[in-house]
Amino acid sequence: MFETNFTVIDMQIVLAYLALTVAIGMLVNRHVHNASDYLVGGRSAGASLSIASFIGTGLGLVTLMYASLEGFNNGFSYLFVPVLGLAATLVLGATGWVIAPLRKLRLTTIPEYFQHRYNRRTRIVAGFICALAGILNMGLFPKMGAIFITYATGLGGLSDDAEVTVNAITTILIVLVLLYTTLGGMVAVLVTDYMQFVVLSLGMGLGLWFCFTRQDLGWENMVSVWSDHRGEAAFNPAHADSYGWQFIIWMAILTTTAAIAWAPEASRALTTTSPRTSRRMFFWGAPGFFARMAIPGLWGIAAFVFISQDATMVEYFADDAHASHAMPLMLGKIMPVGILGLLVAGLLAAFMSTHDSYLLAWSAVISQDIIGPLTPRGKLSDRQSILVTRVSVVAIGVFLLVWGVWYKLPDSVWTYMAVTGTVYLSGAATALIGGMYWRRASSTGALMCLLGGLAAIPVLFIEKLQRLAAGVSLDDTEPLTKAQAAALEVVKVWLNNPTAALAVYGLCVVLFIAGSLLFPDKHDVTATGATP
Amino acid sequence: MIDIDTWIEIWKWVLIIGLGSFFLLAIVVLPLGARDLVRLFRRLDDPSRPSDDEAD
Repeated sequence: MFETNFTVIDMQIVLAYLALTVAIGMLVNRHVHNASDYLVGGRSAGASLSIASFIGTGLGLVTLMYASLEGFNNGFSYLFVPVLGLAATLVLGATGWVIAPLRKLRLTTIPEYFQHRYNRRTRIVAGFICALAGILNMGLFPKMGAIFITYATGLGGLSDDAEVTVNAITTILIVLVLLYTTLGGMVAVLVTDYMQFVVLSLGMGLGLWFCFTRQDLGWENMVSVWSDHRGEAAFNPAHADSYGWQFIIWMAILTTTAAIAWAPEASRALTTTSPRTSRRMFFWGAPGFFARMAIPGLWGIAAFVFISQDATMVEYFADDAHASHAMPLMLGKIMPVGILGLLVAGLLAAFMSTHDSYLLAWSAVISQDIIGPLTPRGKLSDRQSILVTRVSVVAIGVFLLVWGVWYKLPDSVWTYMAVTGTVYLSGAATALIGGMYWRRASSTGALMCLLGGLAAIPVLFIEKLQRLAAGVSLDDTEPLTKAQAAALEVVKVWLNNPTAALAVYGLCVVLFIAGSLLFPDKHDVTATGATP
Repeated sequence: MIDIDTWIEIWKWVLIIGLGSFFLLAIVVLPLGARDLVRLFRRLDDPSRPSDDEAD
């Protein structure tokens, strides 16, 4: 069942591509002359390169995996998420809201804004929460990537314990990424993002082509199978059996706040040659934001249809834990030799590109926003910055290795990522937007709302919270009485991931306003860099 | 209320427009991005480049 079309030719394509990527990452090191070059590419990236890098950063293998998983589980309804991503980036690019003033300030990291607008303490707290949420968020990336490689290449059937293969691949990939990220910094990130954009545009286009042109898949067939299986819920995201309105509102807020404050993507606005280029990057990069989530979503939708035609696979995928294997297995079976190698190489590049961007973004936050401000001079020298960033990259890499091997994947990877993102975004985006557009915003208000975002951490254990609220045992293996099951169902209506996350966003806004009004700053706001 | 057939039409056109725009964008960005990369290296290696504090 696990055999795919992956052959020696495909393996050669993948190895050649990997070797090329690592070599380029190492070679560009000679163009890095100072910390600005290392952290923000010397602010020398033009609009087209910025667009490619912006899309490349967001187009990670983990994005493809969670998007396909959502498509596989929810059908066409999932497409509302890419539509929201498209709308958010188009509006930000057209208006320049937040992103243009950020670039104008010539910052190196997003939390640096908090010192610029508020004070050093706020920057350190923002940096700490940003790095904590970001590294936790990234914790699932290696494993998801390794699962794709394992099942798309047919390695899943090599041994009785596919987990061993997954862990071995995770280790190899992380070591490769660490090699060229520590050496080349942002310049290496920009180059590899561009390469990835080239290969993946082609690979994703071909992947779609093979989905739509096969007789057993195709648009009509996909629509018909999903329609029979789930009815309106497969197409209407607001339907009671689909995501529902609360989830849609959460996603609208999350995609917008992520675009302006999530370090790996928002930091792209800092690498461009001018504020105008940042706006153009967001506006023209918007279709990429859509495609990076819509195409794998469609693969997931197609994988469901593909599997529904084979009794052995239907039995295997009846276990929800296997859902993440569906899309890679389908691609491995429908893509021809050679093209499969190209696609796997592109997706491996996607894996590495996201890792290098994220590693660099969180390491830059650690060096610039936590360690730097804590030194007697208040900042690190160029040499120290690069050294601390490199050490942080390696430290995070080691954490990812341990986490990737030991951590068990949750049922919904997307929800896990959205919740960990909310830990930082709920507070940071509020303090960022408020700081820019509300003169009375104060450092105490900013600190309170940043800390308020930590209230999202318990949401990671929402099932336990629901059981606690319903007054039933926390042990989910224990059978429930009819009354307990009914009580738990009632609790789930008002206490779930979207309602809890929205409540955290609301809490942050309230804390920010109350803190700012009750404890105003004594100094002049404009003198500390309030922007129009 | 939107019926199921309308939803199917909506997603069909969303995908045609969204993915069509993406592949058009890719065709434009590929050559221009390569040009930007060459410029990026030239600028990074330019000894007369203003420091980070002076630029803009």
